[in-house]
Amino acid sequence: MKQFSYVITDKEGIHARPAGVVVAEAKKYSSNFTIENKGKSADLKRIFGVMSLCVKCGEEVVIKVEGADEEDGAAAVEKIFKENL
Amino acid sequence: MKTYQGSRVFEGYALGKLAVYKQEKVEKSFGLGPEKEFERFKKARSETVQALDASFMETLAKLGEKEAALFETHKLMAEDLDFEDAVKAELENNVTAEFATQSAGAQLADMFASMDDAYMKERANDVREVSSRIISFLKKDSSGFIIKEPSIIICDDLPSSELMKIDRKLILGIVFVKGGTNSHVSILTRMLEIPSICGIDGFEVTKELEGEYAILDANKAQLLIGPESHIVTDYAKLKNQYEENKLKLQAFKGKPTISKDGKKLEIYSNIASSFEVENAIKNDSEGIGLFRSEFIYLDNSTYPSEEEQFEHYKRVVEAMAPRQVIIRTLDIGADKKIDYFDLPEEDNPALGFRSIRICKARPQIFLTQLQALYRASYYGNLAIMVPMIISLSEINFIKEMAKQARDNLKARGLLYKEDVKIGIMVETPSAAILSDIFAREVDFFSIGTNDLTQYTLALDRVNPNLTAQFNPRHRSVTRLINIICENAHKAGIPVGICGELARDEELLPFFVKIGIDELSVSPAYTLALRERISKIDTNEVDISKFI
Repeated sequence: MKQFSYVITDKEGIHARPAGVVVAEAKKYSSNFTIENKGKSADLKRIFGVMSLCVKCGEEVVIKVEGADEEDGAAAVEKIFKENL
Repeated sequence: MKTYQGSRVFEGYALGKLAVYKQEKVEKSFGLGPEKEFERFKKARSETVQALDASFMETLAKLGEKEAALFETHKLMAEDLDFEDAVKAELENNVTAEFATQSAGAQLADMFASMDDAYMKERANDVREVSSRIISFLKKDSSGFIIKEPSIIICDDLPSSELMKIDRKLILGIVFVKGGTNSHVSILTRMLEIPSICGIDGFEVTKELEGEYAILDANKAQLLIGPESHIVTDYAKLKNQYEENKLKLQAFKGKPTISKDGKKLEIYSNIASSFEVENAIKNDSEGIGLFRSEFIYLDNSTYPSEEEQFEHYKRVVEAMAPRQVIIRTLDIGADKKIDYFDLPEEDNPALGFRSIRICKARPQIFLTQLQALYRASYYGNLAIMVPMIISLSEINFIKEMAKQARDNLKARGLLYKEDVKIGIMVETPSAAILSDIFAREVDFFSIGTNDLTQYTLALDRVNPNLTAQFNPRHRSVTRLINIICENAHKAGIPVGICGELARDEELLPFFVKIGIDELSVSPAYTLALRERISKIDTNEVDISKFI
């Protein structure tokens, strides 16, 4: 399993547009992705799940990736977080 | 002729035929069984995804990447597994795919609608939009909405993808009967500068409206259906003037507000929701003079949390920085009632339990609001304004509560500014008469002309029999304004006027002459007011009849 954490710097938190970009990226990989915030977790491939966490600016999220392509998947998604959030 | 009142999305006028956009609600009926109906759902979903790709490209070409990106999100919503699971669960009841999609969409929309975050609440509309698109493909009426001639679109709400498909030249205006001012489609409407209004209570969109002649007065946020010919003529003139003027006024953008003889003042905006701030900025407003915080309370079914209020205030403060944003604390009671406040019926509501009087009786509500305000103050130039003041004891109460709010935030380790300016509305004769004393205790005055007129003249401003006598230019009112202004300046504090009287043609020279520091009006009037002030020479103004 691979995991990384990231502190959201986008003023609006994880709102609809970047949430879409992140989910779209995760869906390119076969591994399972979860996102955790404030003691709750969601499937990073499900946009409603991600948005329902209502992650705000300044909060930390932990992403866990597990599966055949976890190495590449985690790196790619981390890059997307840094670029968009 | 019938007139309907809504809220403004984007200003301007439109005259023309109505074009009705109506999405029929799906009635519950039995389908071909879960498996077959799920196949139908999947087919419609993939057609929807294709159509969303097309919407993305259309919006990208017309407005750019940022605006188009939401269609990508819609695509993900359509393909989302939570959504699919909800549809499957509904299909187990042997209903049609149309009905299952509608129910699943409604469930997810409700989830967003119940979130403690204004932005997320609005996303409920996105979900509804996606599910109604899938339904239209299921029903095979996906050709969508066709307008043949330039029209005013009337709808409960319009999917943003539909809006982007229509040629801009064919849209004279839009009426979103059930829409909100911050839905995605409203934002796009503003970007496209289409005259539009939303939120008309109790109005039903029917097919019979198709082709009816109507006037959309988005400046007053009114829809006039079936106007008489003389009204059409008047509005046609008004529309032409308005559009010519708008062009001419662009020259005043980015310029200071200054009279012919060099008196400087500032033009601020009155806004009723945090979403109107873009309007203020676009119209080159120099600050926000009155941000009515009531809307946060009116939009909720229970007391809004500190967090929710903070988000709204912060949005405005941040967007306007470094310009000042004056936020008026809770002003309910009188003609503005909210169910969950559970206020008693009153014989004399205008003289009753309202504003600061409620805050004193229920300090926790006030404290929550003050804490949200102080937190937002960190992000720009925020000032707090309290309405309906009559006594020094109320000012002392506000200061004590403000201190308690700061102490609480400090204990919680949250960011705020210590020196937030606190001002009062001067809108009662009592506050006007005592303005010399109050001026030494607060940081600024703002004169609320409607209530000041109502209370000074002892005339109920909502009584239709008294409308003709309701005269804010009454000498007693202007004399009080002069006294308030002198007392403010003696104590070295600024004084503003909020309320539409601030742009009154007859009184404007008087306001400039006595040295009112700031006039706060609807954003759309900013440049017009700046132009009028530039022509005033205060040496030529005679104020003897006003004082």
